[in-house]
Amino acid sequence: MDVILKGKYIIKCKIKAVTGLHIGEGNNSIEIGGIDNAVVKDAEGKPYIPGSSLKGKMRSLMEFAEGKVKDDLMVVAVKKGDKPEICIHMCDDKECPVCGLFGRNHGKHVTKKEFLKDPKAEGRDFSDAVIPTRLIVRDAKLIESSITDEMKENLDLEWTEVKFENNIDRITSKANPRQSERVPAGAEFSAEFVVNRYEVDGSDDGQLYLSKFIKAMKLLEDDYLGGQGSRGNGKVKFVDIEIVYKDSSDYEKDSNDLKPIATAPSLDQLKLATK
Amino acid sequence: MATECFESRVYEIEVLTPTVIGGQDKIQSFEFVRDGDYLYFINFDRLLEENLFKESFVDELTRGLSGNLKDFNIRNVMTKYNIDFRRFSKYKLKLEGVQKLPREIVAFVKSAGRFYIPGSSFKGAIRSFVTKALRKDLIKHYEDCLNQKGKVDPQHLSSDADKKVFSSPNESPFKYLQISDSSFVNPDDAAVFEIKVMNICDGQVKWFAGVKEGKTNNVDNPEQSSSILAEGIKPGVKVFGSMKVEKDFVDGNEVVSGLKEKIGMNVSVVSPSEFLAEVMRAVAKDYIQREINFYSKYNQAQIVSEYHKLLNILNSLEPNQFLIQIGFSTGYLSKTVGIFFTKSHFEKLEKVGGLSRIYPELFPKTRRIIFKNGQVYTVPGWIKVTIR
Ligand SMILES: [Zn+2]
Repeated sequence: MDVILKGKYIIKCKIKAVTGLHIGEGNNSIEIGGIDNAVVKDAEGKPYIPGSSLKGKMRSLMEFAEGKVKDDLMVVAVKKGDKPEICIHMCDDKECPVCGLFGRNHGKHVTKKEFLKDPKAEGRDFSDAVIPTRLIVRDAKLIESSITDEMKENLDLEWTEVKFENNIDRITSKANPRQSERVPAGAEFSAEFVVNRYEVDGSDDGQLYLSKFIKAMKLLEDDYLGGQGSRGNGKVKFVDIEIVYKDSSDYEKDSNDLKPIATAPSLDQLKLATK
Repeated sequence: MATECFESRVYEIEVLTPTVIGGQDKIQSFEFVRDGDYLYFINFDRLLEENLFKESFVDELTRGLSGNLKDFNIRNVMTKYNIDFRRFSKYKLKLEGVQKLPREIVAFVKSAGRFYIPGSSFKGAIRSFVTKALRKDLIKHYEDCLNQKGKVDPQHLSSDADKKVFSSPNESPFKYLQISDSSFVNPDDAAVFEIKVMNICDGQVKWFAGVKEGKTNNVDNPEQSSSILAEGIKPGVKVFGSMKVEKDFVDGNEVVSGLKEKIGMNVSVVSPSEFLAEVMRAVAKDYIQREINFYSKYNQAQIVSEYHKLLNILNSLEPNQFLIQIGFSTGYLSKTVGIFFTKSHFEKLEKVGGLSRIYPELFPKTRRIIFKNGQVYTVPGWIKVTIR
């Protein structure tokens, strides 16, 4: 397979926490139940959004939206004894928008369908279809000024609050309080994504994967990021979006004064030029 | 149909009766100043920061806060140093017909100082109401929990039944119900409410007046009874958030059946959110009817009329609307499956340690009532939900 890098779409924006945000310390990109306790923080002790969390969540939302959540299209990523614990979609369909944008791994993969039939199934690798991943997601850093002085006065910790949740016993009505740390609503993070534009065997991606990525952003806005998302946390909004296209020839020039191909205060106002 | 799965809807909550979502905190008397009908909640950080140069003030404040708080009056200290408490308050709340001012106030849950309704509280209330709609054979799992032998933990007595009915959190139908935290509530839309505990003793209405020599003291005259004060949202206030009711909530997944299979009523609607609304309306109707019977029996005309008002609203709702009770002081029946329990169940529940007293003949025999200007006013926590 011949792969040529045509250029890069660089998407810069802010991620605004519309409700409190809990991305747990030990969280991998695929969330399993609710992990209480601390949020992940950078070396300076400030909460941030790991690129892996963003990418993992967007991937799983795209799997659903593109109709890939089927036993013969999912591979077992983590198994627990004879049971598939975590499955993600991965395939060797060269046209697959999910694998094309979020990437494929080398190595052997067993589909869920095969696994359920035979947990010892050997699987096969998708190496023929593996090309460098198009999407790169950077860690999103907290914009300190987004947490106002007034908010700070009311926070339990420097940048975060402790949220208590009561699980009520349905027979005794006794409350079982649990606590978890979260970044308060209103906090903003500066995010950057790169979507590589390739020419694969003579066929140019054009804006296909950029528009797929924007679809993933929209799906995330209608879902949640991080822990306890079905119970209030993690509603996010992308704001102050700017998309720049850098052609591979631009990398040979001195000047990097590139005009954005699109800017918008929010996703619903974002329009991509057709060419 | 695909959009139904991915698109989240907007929910609107309209508060119908004063609603309190208790946070973890109690606000102590030294943290607020009363001025007429208002309480000003002091911002100690700013108070200290801006008055650090007034050494004797800082000393006096520190001494006061570390000493016997009963004798400490923050207002007097601030007045003495010519500090305006209004300028150093985080927010002020109106006392809504409050007659007694106890030493502490139940704080409303806040995020970075801002009032809101957590998605977790809203979802928890929906879950409580769903358990009241379960099929009889599923309720049986809860009844079976009461037969557990040996030491049981009252915080986790229902765990086995929860698991049998809804499976593990990873597979539960509730995984397919997403509810965000609500928008923030302006402090002008909140107030301090007075709550009293009604207790039925020998068939008569009494009011809880504290514990005397190890025994609960109940009195006839509510004026002499104890008051609980709580920050709450006023009736008429609206908040918004987003909500996603997925198809699997109704239909289930490969591991566990959805709610359609679990509930003991026929619901014919196609949209998952209207399904939810219809179940909630049916539960609310049954629950309100039972409460009307209870309060009628004990001649509580004001509460009966409040519940009739709710029933009228309930009967005129659209398919995307429902009523639900949420939050602090809403009582045992609102939060549990206990609405189905009989005397023999409560006799078993009595044996579970760590609970307040159970009276199998009549349980629960208490209710928490909101008072206004010394009179019985209403019941807390009823909200109207619209899913758009
Ligand atoms: Zn694929």
